[in-house]
Amino acid sequence: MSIATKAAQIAENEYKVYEAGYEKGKAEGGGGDTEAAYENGRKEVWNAIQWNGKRTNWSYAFYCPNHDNPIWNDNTFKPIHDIVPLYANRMFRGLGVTDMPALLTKLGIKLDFSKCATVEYLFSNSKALKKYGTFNVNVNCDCLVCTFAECDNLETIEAINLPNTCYTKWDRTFIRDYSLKNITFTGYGYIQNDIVFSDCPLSKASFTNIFMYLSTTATGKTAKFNKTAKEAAFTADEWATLVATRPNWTIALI
Amino acid sequence: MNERKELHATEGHIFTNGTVYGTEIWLAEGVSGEDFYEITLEEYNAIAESEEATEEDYRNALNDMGVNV
Repeated sequence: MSIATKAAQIAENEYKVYEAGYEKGKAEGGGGDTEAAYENGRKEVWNAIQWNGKRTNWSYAFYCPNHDNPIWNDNTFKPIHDIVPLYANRMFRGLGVTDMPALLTKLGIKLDFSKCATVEYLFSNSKALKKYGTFNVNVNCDCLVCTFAECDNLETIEAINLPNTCYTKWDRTFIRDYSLKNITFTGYGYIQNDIVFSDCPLSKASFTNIFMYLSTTATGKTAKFNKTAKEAAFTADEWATLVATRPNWTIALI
Repeated sequence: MNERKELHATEGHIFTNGTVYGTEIWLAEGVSGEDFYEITLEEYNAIAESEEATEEDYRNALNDMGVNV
């Protein structure tokens, strides 16, 4: 079975569980469109999808092939248990959620990738996503391949938390994130490999934060930024001062 | 401290060494810049499009299976 077929099948199956569980729960709750009936259905659905909270392989689970009309969105993505994946390849590709931290707070659950080494295309093509909260990078994660790629409307990533001894690569992690202004790196780790923000209209604070997290000991590495964003944020002297803080990095504007 | 070179491309051009691309580049200390040369914006866009083939292949595979992406 090809990856494409598998992806489409997983997405379809998850949504069938959702629909069947909702109807069953609604019927057991007395039917109708009461809030109690909906909640009954919701618990049935999400206990099934989440294996009563024990599920760890979430690859493709909420993959939305049609990112113009994603089936998983603010109205349908309503888990009842914390989600802590070990595998999350393309888990939320094409997702329709708009503000993930607000939604998770409302649901009272956490979404934690700190144990997950496979996050390829995790949120790629999530055109509705405007805000993401804290992303904890797993120390064994080799590469954040397209993890937040093509999220056209993503404006803010509240935190990318880097563990100590983090050597993850940043292959097209933020490609075509044309709205990404605010990103903050946190933690005891550093950016140790080439990283690209050439599509991102970063704020001055974001630029400064990124520079602070470029490793002071890495060699042969390049950080690439958007020239228009840089010119909006810095005077020539301010930029020269910032660049001078990382003489071991090649800094490119495009 | 080693000298740090800056490269500023002429209008409509981009500097590259085959892997690093930029209209303005601040080379890391000790990097000579000798292997950097200018290409046109059109050449750069063509290179960027060809590097997108991997993701496009994935989309095509899904479309072939009748999955609308």
